[in-house]
Amino acid sequence: MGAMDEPVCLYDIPQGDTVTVEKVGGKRIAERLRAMGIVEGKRLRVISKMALGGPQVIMVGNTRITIGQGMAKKILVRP
Amino acid sequence: MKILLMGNPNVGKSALFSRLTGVDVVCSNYPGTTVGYCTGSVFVEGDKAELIDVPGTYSLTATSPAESVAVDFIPDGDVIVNVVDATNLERNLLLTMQLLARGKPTIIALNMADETKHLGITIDSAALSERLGVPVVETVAVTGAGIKELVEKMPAARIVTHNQETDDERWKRIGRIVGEVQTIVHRHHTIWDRLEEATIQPITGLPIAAAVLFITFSVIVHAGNFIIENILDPFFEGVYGPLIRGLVRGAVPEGIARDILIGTSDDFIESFGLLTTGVYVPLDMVLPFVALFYLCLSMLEDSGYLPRLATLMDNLMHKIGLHGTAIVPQMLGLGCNVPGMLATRILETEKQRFISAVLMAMCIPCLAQNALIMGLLAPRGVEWIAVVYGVLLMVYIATGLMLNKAISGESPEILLEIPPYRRPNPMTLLKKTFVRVRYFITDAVPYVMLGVLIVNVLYFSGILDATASVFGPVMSVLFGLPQEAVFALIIGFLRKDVAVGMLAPLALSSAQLAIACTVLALYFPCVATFTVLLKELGLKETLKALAIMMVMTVLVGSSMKLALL
Repeated sequence: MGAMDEPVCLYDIPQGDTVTVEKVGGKRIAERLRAMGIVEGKRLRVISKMALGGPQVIMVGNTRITIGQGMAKKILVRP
Repeated sequence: MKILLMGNPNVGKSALFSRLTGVDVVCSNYPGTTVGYCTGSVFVEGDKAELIDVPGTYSLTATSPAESVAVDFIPDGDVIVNVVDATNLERNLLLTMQLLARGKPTIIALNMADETKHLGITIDSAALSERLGVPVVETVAVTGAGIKELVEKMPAARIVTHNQETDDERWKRIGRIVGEVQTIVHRHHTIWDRLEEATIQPITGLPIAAAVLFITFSVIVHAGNFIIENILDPFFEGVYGPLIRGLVRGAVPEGIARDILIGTSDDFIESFGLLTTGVYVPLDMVLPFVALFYLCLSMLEDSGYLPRLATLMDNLMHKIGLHGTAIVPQMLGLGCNVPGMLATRILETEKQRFISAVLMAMCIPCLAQNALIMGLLAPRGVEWIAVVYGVLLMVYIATGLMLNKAISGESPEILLEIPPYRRPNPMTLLKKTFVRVRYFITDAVPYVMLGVLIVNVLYFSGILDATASVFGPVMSVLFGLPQEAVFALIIGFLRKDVAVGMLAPLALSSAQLAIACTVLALYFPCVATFTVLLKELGLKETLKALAIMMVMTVLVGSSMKLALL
């Protein structure tokens, strides 16, 4: 029980946190994201978050990826 | 034999390509697309083979033009050299699996094998080779390590047969393979890591970006001026000028022909001679800045800074219907609008390309134009330079906001890999800069000379005066400029830098000069940019773009007249 166990979207994760990818939504977007290594079960860290609805920079493996707000909202993650 | 060099973006594929090939490299666009690729030759067991640097792709699912091109290349290839980034083994192996499924002889270059060490990664390449069923050669493209072995092992490239797999199954298999062949020792963050991250955190990143851009442009301006004052001006004033004037005066009798060649004034800008102004403007006033600009831009590109700048600027660019990636063509446009326009192709939608092209054509003066604007306005005081660029910046933002609201269509989001910082390779830097500078010399210089020639022909035939008396009153009513300023607007279609130069002998006040420079930037693109605009946008969109430019010119020019005169 409790909010911690519910998957939340990547966009809501604060800078510095590491999370596990639960689900990548949106068929076309999912294909692009998965090819870049953002796959269910992967651990990723939010290394930067721009202010005012700007993009996030995440670290997956040794790759840094800048990802826009809309796409970040389609990625569900767990702590 | 055709060898395809394939891999993810940012894996050092192009560096490997230039290590493998000799001097006979040809780069072109893939037929029917705007995606560029390069071919060269490599000797395998004494036989000459064609090596193709296929555009980088994350997968063979073809979700972008570059990826479709990559897929199209595969049937023609005899051997595939799959370049894999050793520091990102897991992600890279998806493409590897998809390539192996195509049933072509394949060999893997495990590149950046040196960078794994300080990341605490160890990869057992023999085990990887065994698990994948194809040869794996460790390479370091930057230093050339492993290149010879890669060429020697190319004939050993093998076809592997697998059952059909879905990508999900592939990811599972990749997970198992990586677990077996790769060991990672956990490593603490070094000072370098923190510095690296500081450049993409908003609080530290934005001031750093401002500093980087400020330093870059200071270097360009100061080094450019230093070269001009100490090398080029002494040469042109002391050697070239007297020499060419002497030669022409000796060979050509006084009259129109002589005036076209060297003009009547000994001042390089005011003379408007084909061999004086026509040579001095591009080679003395502009070339040093162009060369330095492209050198600095290539450095920002190759060091990996530009994707970070794109990330930081994304939010602002979003407000004007673009996204962070659009910063790259806009910066290129600052050198010359033509490559800048061509680079807008990296943007995903028509809306983005239109906004990007219009804003660039109006508000981003090319380096040649900037050099002349600075040259003319600097003696009048920095505040006048600030007026011109301040107005252009305001028009940029205002037009962008308006277009974003007015044009329907999607503005997709940024999705961009940020490669680690790398020290740019001096040879690659020089090569890149040279190619871009060569384009300026072969394409821009003839246009400048043509522009000067046409000014002369129009002047001596009386057409210029006739046009001035017709359109002149419009100039003074709208912009508060003398009739003769019409000439500059006409010539501005050919070359904007020449046009700005034409303002020099008009005895304008500082405010008039500032208005004229702004109007010249806004009103219409130069012919080279116009041609590309037409090609990229099509006739209908180009007409729309031109209408926006004209309206903005009249609005902005007349407001400036009211405010300044």
